[in-house]
Amino acid sequence: MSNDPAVVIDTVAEFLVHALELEEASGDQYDELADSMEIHNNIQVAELFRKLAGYSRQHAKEVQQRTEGMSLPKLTPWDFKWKCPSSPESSCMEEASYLMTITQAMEIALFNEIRGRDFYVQVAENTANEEVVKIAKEMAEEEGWHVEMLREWQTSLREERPLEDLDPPNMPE
Amino acid sequence: MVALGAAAVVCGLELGAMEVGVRRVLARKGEQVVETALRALSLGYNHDQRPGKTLPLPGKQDNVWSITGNQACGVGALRGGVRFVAAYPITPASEILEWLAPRLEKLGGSLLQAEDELASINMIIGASFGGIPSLTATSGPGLSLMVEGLGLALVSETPVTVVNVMRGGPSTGIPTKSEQSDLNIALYGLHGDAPHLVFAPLSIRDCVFTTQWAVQLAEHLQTISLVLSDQSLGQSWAIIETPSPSDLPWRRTIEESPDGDYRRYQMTPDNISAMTLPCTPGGMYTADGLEHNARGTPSSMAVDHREQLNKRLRKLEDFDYGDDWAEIEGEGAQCIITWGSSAGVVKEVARQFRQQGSEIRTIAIRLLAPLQRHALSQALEGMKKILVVEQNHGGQLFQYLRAQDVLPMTASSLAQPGPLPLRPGRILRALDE
Amino acid sequence: MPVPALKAKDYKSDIKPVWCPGCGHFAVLSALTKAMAHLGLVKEKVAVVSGIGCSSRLPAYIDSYGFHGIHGRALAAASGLKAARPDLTVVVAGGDGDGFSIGGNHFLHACRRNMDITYIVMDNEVYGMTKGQASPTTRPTWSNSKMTPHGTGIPCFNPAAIALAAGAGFIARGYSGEPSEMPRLLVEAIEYPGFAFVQVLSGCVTFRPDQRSWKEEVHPFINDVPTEDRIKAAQIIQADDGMATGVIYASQYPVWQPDNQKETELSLLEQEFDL
Repeated sequence: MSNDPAVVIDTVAEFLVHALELEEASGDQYDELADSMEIHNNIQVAELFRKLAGYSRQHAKEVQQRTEGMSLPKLTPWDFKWKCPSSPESSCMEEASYLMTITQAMEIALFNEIRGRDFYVQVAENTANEEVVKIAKEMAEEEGWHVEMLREWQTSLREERPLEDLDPPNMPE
Repeated sequence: MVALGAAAVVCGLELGAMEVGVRRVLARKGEQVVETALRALSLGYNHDQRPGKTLPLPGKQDNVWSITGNQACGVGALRGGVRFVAAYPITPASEILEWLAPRLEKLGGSLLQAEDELASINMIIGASFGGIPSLTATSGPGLSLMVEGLGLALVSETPVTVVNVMRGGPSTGIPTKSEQSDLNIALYGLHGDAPHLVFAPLSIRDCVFTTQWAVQLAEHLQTISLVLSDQSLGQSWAIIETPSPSDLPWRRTIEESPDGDYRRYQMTPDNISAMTLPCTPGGMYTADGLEHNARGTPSSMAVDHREQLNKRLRKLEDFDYGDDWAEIEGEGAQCIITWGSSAGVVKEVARQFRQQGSEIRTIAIRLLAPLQRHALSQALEGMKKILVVEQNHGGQLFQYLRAQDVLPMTASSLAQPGPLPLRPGRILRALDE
Repeated sequence: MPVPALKAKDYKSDIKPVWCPGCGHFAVLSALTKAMAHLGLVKEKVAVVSGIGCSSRLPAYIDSYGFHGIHGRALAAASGLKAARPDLTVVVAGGDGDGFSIGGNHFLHACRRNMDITYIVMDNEVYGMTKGQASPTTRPTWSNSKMTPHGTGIPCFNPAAIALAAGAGFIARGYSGEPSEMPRLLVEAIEYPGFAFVQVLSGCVTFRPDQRSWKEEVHPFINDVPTEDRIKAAQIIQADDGMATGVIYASQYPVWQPDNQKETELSLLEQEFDL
């Protein structure tokens, strides 16, 4: 259990604001990736990201429902208590590439979902608020289920031919 | 000093008044210099070959102005509604800017001295995007630097006006002497298909009207206006009949309450689409130098490119410019076509012609682009001899009119570059050739 | 603090960015919308101005007035706009080539003119739109460009040092991989009364995949920042490896804006020519 105020979340409202931001940011970022993959004609990967965006939005909606009737604190983007520089489910986007295969895209997705799950686990471990522990654990479980689903999905993927750029960036070595 | 004395006689000035002036100017150089100068002045003044006739003194007169062409361009700009100017100093255009700077401030506008001409053209584009009629003034080298920016204004349909006070070119050329050699760059300088407006004032007095007309048409047609003045107009001082206040109707079409589906580059019957200004809710758009669709979104689709090219061409071609496109005087079977400042010497030739009882027609073109081909062809009907007179080396107007197919094969060109002014005798000789 | 009526997302337009998947500029766009939402800016009172390049596509992606001009001239267009329309919040966005190479002169003079403009340079040390040439901020040994196969061989441009020397009063550096910190920098920059320069390290995944390592290289300033002291700022900037993030320098200088109260009529001015 940590006493670091930078990571301890002690009220349900504050926790839900974090959860909402996490799910919404991840939904936005998956949509953004899907859009840009479409623009670069990497349709298969675009579809994957679009699907993941859908899941995130569904989650966000569920969190939203939990917040109904609550008065939520207003946090600025730099007030969020992530342990990383950004919301955990949207943090390794620079690994994306217009030529990426669905296998590689799946790795990004897995990385993000695991980061999301770990965030909820960490919140549950560090808070003194029983109610926060309960909800965070529920959500960690749900994310864990997501991770499992993605892993299963990953094993069933058909290894497709890598995309080709007829005029690729110059990479001499 | 002897010549000054002789000139004073011609102008009808009194010797005493001249002596006061000479003393004032030369006092710092010592009494000996002043005394020598006064003796020389007196020699010239009292020369025994005094002219019989002296020129009338202007004195206090109503309805005349004492003004330079550069100041007159400034007045025209303000009359046209210009309230923002950004510019970089250059000979021989700086006086426009120096005259405008304090006066713009008094009228609630401003002049910004830019770091270079690339900045000045883009600054006025930015200001015009904000809704303020904007102008810059420059000369050949500066115009060369501005050309890319002009294309941006044209494609984004952001109205701006550039007054180009021509000097000897190319390159640094002859900065302090006049030449009409920037017609080509004004007409053809832009890359891509880029129709726009090109004007040339026909006299110092006409600098007022032509600049105002250029500004207001740029505003109304949401395009760029280039005004080709030159050093001989810009830096000459003249007494002119007061330009009548001219309330031209042309204004920018502004959309103040756009509906939900505002399209900045919407096709319309006259191809002019209403523009929203920043701070207008519901009218937000991104102006772009990239080709775009009606909404302003960048597009490389053939259909959008063609539509917008047509829009930018047709709004200029279909507009009715009225009779001001040229000054046409005289009858007969001979015709001189000219443009800009050369109109002065051409009119003098016509005066001498008529004095001798002969007829001649003169056409001084004020609106060079879009060329009013139909009206010009009509004015040339029945002409047996056509001479195109201009002050440059390549016959730029002559070549342009040839390319536009308005000249018969018998037409000839008198193109004389600067720095020497065109003289009536040279034109009369060319008519005889 | 009043609750802003608009969320960050409301400041995005419906136009999809043309950027490559994974491009750092997405994070800058997102940070800018977050900053706008935080400040509660009224959309139609904002103008985003840019030149040419990948990052210069940004104005169309923001739901405000925008001007996408020509290469290198964004600051000039923005200065004209701000001079004519001081009521607008003017934000300029662009890249390292646009701002420091072809537009270098305007950068110098915008710093010293000190108009109330925010200038965001998304620096990826490469010309991405033209497929990967060296820019002024590219290291001299980077030889992946076909145009400079042995590297440029010339030292790179130090944007912060030049901004300071040219007279900028607000100088900051951010990193697109810190999307929670970026909005704070931008909020401070927009609120700063004067010319605020924000260099954002925003990696190019396509032509500079090596920049993925920036994640490990970026660090906070070792000195106390921001400073108001020009000399200290110069020392910090010169000692820095170019990868430290935060507001470096924030000091107050007189803001330039034309002073123009209408006080007369043109017809009265014209009387000066009467003989």
